[in-house]
Amino acid sequence: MRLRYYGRLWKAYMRIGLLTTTQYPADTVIWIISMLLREAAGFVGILAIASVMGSLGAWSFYEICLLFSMCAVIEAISMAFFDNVWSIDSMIRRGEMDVYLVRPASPFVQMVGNRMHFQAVLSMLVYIGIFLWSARGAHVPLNLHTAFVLVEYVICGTLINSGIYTLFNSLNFWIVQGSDLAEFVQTCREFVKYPLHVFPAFIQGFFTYILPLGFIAYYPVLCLLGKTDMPVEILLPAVAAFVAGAASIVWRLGLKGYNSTGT
Amino acid sequence: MMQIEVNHLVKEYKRKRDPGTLLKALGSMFRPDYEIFRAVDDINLGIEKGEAVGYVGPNGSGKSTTIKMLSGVLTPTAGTIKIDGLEPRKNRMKINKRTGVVFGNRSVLWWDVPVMESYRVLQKLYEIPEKTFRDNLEEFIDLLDMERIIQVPERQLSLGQKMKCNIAAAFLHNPEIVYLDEPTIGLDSESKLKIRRFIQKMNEDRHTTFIVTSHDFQDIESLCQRIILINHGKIVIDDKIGAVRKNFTKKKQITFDLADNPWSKGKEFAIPDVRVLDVGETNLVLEYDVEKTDSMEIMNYVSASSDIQDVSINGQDIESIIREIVKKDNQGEV
Ligand SMILES: Nc1ncnc2c1ncn2[C@@H]1O[C@H](COP(=O)(O)OP(=O)(O)O)[C@@H](O)[C@H]1O
Ligand SMILES: [Mg+2]
Repeated sequence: MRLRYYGRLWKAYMRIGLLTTTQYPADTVIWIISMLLREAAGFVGILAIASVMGSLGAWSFYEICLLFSMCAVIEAISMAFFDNVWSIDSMIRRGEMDVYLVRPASPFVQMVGNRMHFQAVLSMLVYIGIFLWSARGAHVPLNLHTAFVLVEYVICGTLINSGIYTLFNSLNFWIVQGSDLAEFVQTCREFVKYPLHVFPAFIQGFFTYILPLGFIAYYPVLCLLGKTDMPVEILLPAVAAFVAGAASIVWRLGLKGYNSTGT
Repeated sequence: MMQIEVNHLVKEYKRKRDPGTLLKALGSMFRPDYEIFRAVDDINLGIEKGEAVGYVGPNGSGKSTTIKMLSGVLTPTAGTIKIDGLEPRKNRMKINKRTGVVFGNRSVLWWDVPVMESYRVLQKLYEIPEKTFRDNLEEFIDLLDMERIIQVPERQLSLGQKMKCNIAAAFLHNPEIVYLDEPTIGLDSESKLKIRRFIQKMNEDRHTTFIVTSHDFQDIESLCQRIILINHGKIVIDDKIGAVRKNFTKKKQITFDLADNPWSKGKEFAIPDVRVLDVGETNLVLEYDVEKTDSMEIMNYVSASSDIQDVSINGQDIESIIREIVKKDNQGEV
C-alpha cells in the first residue's frame, strides 16, 4: 500500500511545518494567547448561562466542561493539520493548485501538508488537560469501552470536522463566496458546544442529520457518560465515512474543473 | 510510438462577458453572462523521446494552456493527450513521477525554509533514492553554482537564484520529460546563460525531452532543434529551426566593406526591392528581399561602381521571421 509512502511524506511536511513555526516565534506567542482568550471567553459564556439557568439541560458543571473540551480538542487537531483547507479559496484564485497537480501524490494530502499549524498542538494540550480533569469530575468510567470510544472519537471526530470544512471550502471551485459559507458553518459550530437537547427539535435534527456536527462532541459525550441508547460506537464511523466521502467527491469534482489562472 | 502524442486537443475557458455598464453589471450578478473562449484550438503534436522543442507564439496564444494540459493541471475540453501511451489526468501518479515542470512565474519551494529542506520533501514526494538524490544534487550545485544558496530560505533569494533552485528541483527525480514555461522570464543574462547551459546538458547527457516556451528567442535558438509556433490557439508551424529559417527567410542583410563608397556621396542605389540600412565612408549595409533579387545581382551591381574589400551576408534572425509569420497569419484570419 501507499500508506508507508504517505507516512514518510507526512513526516517531511511536519518537519517543514516545525521549521516554519520556529522562524516566527513572536507570531506563535500571539497566536496562542489570542486562541486561549477566545476559547476562554466562549467557555465562560457557557458557564455563565449554565449558572443562571441552574444547569444546562440537567447537565452538571463537569459534564459541560467535558463537552466543551472535547469540541475544542477536535477543532485544535483540525487547525493543526488541516488548516490549509481554509486557503482553498486563495489557492484557486492565484492558481496555486497547479503545483499539487504535477506531483505524484494526492493533491489533498499535499495541500493540507503544505502548511501545518503547530501552535494549535499546544492549545490542544491545554484542552486535553481540561478534558482529563472534567472526565474525572463527571465520573467517566475508566474502562476498555471508554478507551475504545475515545480513540474512535478522535479519528472520526476529526474526519467529520475537517471533512465538513473541506466540503464547504471546496465550493470555492464553483462559487466566489465559498469561504463565507464555510465560515458561516464554522460559526454554526458554536451551537454544538452546548448540550444539543437544550435546543428546539429542529436544531437538534439539523446538527444530527443535515450538518452532523453533533457527532464531533455531543453524541460521543452522551456515550461516554452512558446517557444514551444510541449505538454511537457504530454511528461515529458511519457518519465519518459519509462526511469524508462527500467531501472527497466535492473536492475531486472541483479539482477536475479547476482552470488555473492565465499567465 | 511517440513519447508525447496529442490529438485534436481543445481547451475552452468560460469567461464572464464584460457587462459594459454598471447597471448591466448589477444585473449580471444574478444572471451571469458567459462567453466561451477557445484558448487551444485543435492541436496535434507528436514528440519523440529526447527532442527539445521550442513552443513559441505571441502573448495569449495558448502556450501555457497547452503546457498545463500536458502536465495534467488542466482537463482538456476535447481531444486526447498520451504520454507513453497514458493519459495524464487518469494516470496522474504514474506520469507525474516521470515528468518535471517549471513554471516561470510560480515557485514550488517552501518560502520559509532553506531550499535544501524543500528538496528533502521532494525526495520523499518522488521517492528518490538517496544515492540518486545526492549525485544529482552535487551535479546541479556545480552546474548552477548553487553551493551557498541552497542553505538559505527561499524568501531571501534573488529572482535568478530562485529560478535556478526551481529548475534544479524539477530535475531531482530524473524526469524523462520536462516542461518549462517561461523559465528565464525576468532574469539577468548571467542566470539565463547558466540555466540554458544546464537545460542543454540535461538534454544531451540524459536525453530528457523538453518543451520550452519563452519570449527570449536566444533561449529557443540555443536549446531547441524544433520549433512549434502557435497563434490564436492553432499551430501555424511545426518544423526544425533550420528549416523554418530556410523556408521563411524573406529578407537578408548584406554588408559591404568598400574602398570608396559612391553611395555615401549621394548616388542612388538602383536595384528595386533593396533597402539601404546604413551607409558610411567605407561601408554599406543593405537589406534585400530574397524572392525578388539575390546576392549575386547586388554584388555585381556594387562591384561595377566600387571596389569590394569584404562582404558578409546575414539571414534574418528567427525572432523577426516568427514575427512576420504571425503577422501574416493574423492578416489571413481577418
Ligand atoms: N484560467 C483562465 N481562465 C480564463 N481564461 C484564461 C485562463 N488562462 C488563460 N486564459 C486565456 O487563454 C488565452 C491563452 O492563455 P495562455 O495559454 O496563458 O497564453 P500564453 O501562455 O501563450 O501567453 C489568453 O487569452 C488568456 O486570457
Ligand atoms: Mg504563458
